Amino acid sequence: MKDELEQLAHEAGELAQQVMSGAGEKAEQQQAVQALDDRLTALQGEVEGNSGHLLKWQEARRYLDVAQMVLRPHPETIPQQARRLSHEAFALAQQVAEGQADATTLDKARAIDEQMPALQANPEELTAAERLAVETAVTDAQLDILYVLAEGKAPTSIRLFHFLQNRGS
Amino acid sequence: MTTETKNLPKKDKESLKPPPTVEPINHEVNAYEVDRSPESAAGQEFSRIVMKQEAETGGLNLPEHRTARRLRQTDVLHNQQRHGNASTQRLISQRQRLGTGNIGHLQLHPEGADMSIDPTTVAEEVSQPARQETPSTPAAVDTPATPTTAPPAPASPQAMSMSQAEKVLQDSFGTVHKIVPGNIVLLDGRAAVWAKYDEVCIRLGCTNSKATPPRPWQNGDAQVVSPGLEGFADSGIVYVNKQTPLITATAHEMLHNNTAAGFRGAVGETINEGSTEYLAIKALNAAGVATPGGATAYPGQVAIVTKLIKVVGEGTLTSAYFGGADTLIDAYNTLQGSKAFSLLKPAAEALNTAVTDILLTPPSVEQKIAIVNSLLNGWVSDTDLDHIEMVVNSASGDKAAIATAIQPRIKELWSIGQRTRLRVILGTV
Repeated sequence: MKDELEQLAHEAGELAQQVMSGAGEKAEQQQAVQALDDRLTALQGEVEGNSGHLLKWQEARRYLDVAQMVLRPHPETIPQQARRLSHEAFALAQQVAEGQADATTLDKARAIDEQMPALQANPEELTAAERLAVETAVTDAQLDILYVLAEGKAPTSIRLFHFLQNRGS
Repeated sequence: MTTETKNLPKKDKESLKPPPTVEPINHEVNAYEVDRSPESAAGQEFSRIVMKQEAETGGLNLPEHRTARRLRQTDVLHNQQRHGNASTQRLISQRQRLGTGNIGHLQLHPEGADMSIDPTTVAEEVSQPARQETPSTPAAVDTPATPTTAPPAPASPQAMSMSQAEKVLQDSFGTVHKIVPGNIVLLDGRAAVWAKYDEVCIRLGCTNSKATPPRPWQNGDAQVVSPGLEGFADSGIVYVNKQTPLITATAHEMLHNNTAAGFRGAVGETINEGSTEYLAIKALNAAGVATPGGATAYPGQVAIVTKLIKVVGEGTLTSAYFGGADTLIDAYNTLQGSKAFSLLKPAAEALNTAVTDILLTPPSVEQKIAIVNSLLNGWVSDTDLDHIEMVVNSASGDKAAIATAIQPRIKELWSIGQRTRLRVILGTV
């Protein structure tokens, strides 16, 4: 039982990591989630009396819940979109700062830049906290995009400064 | 803010000049009357506080008669110079807390307004000391106090000055880490931030790629391309808008200069920013500075970190922030599963709270006991004891129950050193 639960937790964790990374086919992943879910459910009654087994079962359950949640279709909210784009802009700025930019880097930065205005087009639809989150993400992204478009010959965002500082640059 | 002095004689004004590094606390402190009844419990407590403070400061020069004493601004400033704002704040707060009945009274007048000697106004300012409980934002200007001129009331909240931020952070985290201020320049408003950005860009020979057609950078470009600009960095200097509505701005940026190397990369931007803002808020609150909603940064990230703290404990997060991310990740994985942090990090980066909520549900005390029991099964290494310590310290409220459940197993450990350590961890020594 112990080994079986260890194996289940391992497989569920691996699957959740794969799903989270966005790699792989969603349909296959959904089937894999279902298969693991069935195996876990079958063991549920047997683990109740053993706290160690129950703990491992709960760990596997947590990983599967994550995988199921990520696979569930859900529209990206404006703050999530702002955060994602800002994160992508930051990643591009890091590439430029480390001399790893390639031919596509500038185009990617321009593509992100073009999506920025839409994020702040309807502020009345956001809560005050969401507006603040979007504004912060957009402002950080703008600085990183400026840095990328200037191919590193520009001031940095504060986050890029700290990234470089931590790298010892 | 400036401490009111204009009603004081010249001699007192001279004595008020503080050394350049001292900034007054964020309250307009008028001379105030303290009437106390030494027979009462509150009066005795008050006396104990004053005597302790006097012993620490070398004396506050308070008169000793029984029914009245006047603490002058010189005493306040003297205390600030010797012991800092937090100490003075605590003393005033203590007196204010005792300011009921005839025990003690503190007169506060509106920041920037003239100090009134009108008895009615004084009575009002004494009778409504609540302002002390929610102090306004400290002055941001990193300059010496100017005791002869009261500044106008600020139009908007401001960032803390560098020295204030360093002090509140040192007071809160100094036992864990010596706070280094770093190179942060506070600029006077967003226009000044745009102007500085333009200046740096022109000096660097930047091209404005967002202009059509692209052209060399020129003054005014920063405002167009980054209308919400609050700060940036160049040549090792971080420039921040002093007039930011974010009260935590200076402390937040200063904390970044003190984060353990590699923490940001290991935990990701969300947990890094959320931890930084969480710790900044904690330090400001400890110093008596209110941090209302809307006046702090990264609310979504702070919410995630607050939940993370409910899993691993605040001590673990703080020591990881200043000492290295490994302890945080290790503690989290011990409690939630060996692959859990590898899932939490990307979910947090995406601010996917549906997923982070799954991963940040704290284990029950029964689950924690099961984790500790599993770590004690078979051969027990010192690393296992490290992990047990992480579990036990994750929530102080669970410690007694874990100790009760685990205590019978202490004798199973072969090593006397490990038995002693486990007793210390469980608090059963």
